[in-house]
Amino acid sequence: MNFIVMDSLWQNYIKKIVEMSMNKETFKKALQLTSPVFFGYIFVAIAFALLMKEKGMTIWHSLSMSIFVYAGAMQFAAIELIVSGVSLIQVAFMTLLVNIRHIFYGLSLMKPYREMKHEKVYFIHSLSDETYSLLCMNKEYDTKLMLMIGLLNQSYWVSGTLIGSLIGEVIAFDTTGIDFAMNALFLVVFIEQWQSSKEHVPALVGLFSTLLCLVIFGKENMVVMSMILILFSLFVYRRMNRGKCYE
Amino acid sequence: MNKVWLTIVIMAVVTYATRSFAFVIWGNKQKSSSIIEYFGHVLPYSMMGLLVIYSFKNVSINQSPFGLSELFSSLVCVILHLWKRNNLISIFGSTLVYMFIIQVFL
Repeated sequence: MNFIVMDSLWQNYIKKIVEMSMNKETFKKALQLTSPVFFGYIFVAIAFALLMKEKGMTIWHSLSMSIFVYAGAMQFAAIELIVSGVSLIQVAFMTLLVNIRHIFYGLSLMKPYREMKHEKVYFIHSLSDETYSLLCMNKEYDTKLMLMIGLLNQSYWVSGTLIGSLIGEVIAFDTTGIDFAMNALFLVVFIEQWQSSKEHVPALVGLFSTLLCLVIFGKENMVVMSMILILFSLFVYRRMNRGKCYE
Repeated sequence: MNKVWLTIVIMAVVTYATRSFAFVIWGNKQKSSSIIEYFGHVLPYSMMGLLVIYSFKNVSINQSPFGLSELFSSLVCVILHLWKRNNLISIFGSTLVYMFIIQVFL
């Protein structure tokens, strides 16, 4: 084992993160951009941690999930999977099924990825739906800001998990429904994208393919089926020559 | 309890694999092929449509209140956003409306 390389990699990471936080402008801008995610993440993560506790899992389980898995919908699904005692193969398959949408996030982020060095390892990990949505709103961001957005979002998620694990029950006000913030975030990004483009076919393809698949296949299998339908429709659309303006 | 840890490890590995897939396959070439560029360009629009629907997947339209609270709050969100064009106002405003509806009326 090459511990020296590992060690310098780690130091590089810390250095990078410190550098980013020192850059006040970037930090402030990221803080501002991620503030809608802050409330959603904190409270949804608290709910997650409380549920984990209720099902007999420790704070270490909850925290490692939020740090190393970091996938909202899947973490809730995981509680069910663990409690019902399904096989590990099924866990892998379920995770793939739910998170398959992430496969395509990368396609739109090739440019920043190519510009990054070691930090790309974390950049990939930070690409949750919400981080991706914020990055989609403005593609002109520099890589430091992109990383900071991802880092802040995950720190909200982990903080919520920590709060839920430690003092969850003490939260005084009723937070039922606060997870609507995530729905609203996706809606807002959708509107922003709609208005930034003259071409509405891709947005409509996404909306209606997914709606159709939800109705036909139900919420368990909708993601995979909609991805297939979306790719197919977009491919056909390009073939019809009308998609040419994107090239 | 070891199985819980194994579950977490598997989930972490599979999730990271899905997130890195596109980068591993296409990220190291200097220039992407035109079909990949095309998808990279149009997919964000489609994916946001997917996420909008996906985030409402648990709404049941067969039983009272038939998804009306979600529909109304979404309309509030859209109208607020078209009016004020401020992410924070749209997101917080509609979330407060939604919380109010489901906590007070339902």
